[in-house]
Amino acid sequence: MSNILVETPLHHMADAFMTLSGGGINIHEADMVSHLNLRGCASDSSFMKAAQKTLGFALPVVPNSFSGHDESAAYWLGPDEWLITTNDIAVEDALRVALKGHFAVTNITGGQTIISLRGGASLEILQKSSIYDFHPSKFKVGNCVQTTFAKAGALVVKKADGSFNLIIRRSFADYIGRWLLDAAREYS
Amino acid sequence: MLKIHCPYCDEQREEEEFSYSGEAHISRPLDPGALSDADWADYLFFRKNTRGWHHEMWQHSAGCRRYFNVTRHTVTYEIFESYPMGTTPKALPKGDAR
Repeated sequence: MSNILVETPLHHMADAFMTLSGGGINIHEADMVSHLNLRGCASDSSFMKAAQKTLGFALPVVPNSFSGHDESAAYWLGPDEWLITTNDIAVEDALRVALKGHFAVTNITGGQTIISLRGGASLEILQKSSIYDFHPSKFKVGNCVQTTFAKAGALVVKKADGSFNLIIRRSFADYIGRWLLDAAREYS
Repeated sequence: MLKIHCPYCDEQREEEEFSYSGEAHISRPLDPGALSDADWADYLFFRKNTRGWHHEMWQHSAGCRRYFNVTRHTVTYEIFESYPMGTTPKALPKGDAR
């Protein structure tokens, strides 16, 4: 069988995003990584310890925050729910082996994608697209928030280098991509 | 536009992120088979139409997706408190809303 070409949900917009670069904004879709939805009880210390041992960092328990690093991260989605993004495909099985009792690991890789926003204008683009208060005095490095972005849902992440990641549904990717191209036009 | 405090996200968020889910603290009858049709219909369909303080459910649908309760005044729209599912509301403020 011939090799199957893996395409990210926004591969058809990569060139359009490239034409924007050089101005105040740099948009690109991140390479494909695994997205796992993890459910479990945050007050169950054996669950939290097993997850920490498998991932190499603790699951965040503070609302609207994330932990981890570039290769692998865990985002707080709710008091008993996390999103894990990782470029190590073995994490899913490792979690299933390590976790015991009442938990759920769901692979949602095919349903989501990540868009990276860099540059001085990225904050303004977020502010005009969303109702959430992204002012740096409130939305700090290490924060992530689920809110509406251009009427669609998005998980917005503020990374250590000050850039933002938008984690969005695949089904909304084309719409949000086009929205971003339009929103970024005045800064490019 | 209401500003609603989500007890799970622990933040004030815009109403646009939430969806309204009706009156709170309605418990399902333990033995539905023993109920008369009128009582079952009352449980399923009939809700208070309060003028004043109202305990109601909201879902943070664009955020953490959790349900919680809000005590809101149906005339002034003032929100007295929001509290997680399974907890008891505080005593209401005396008198009417501001």
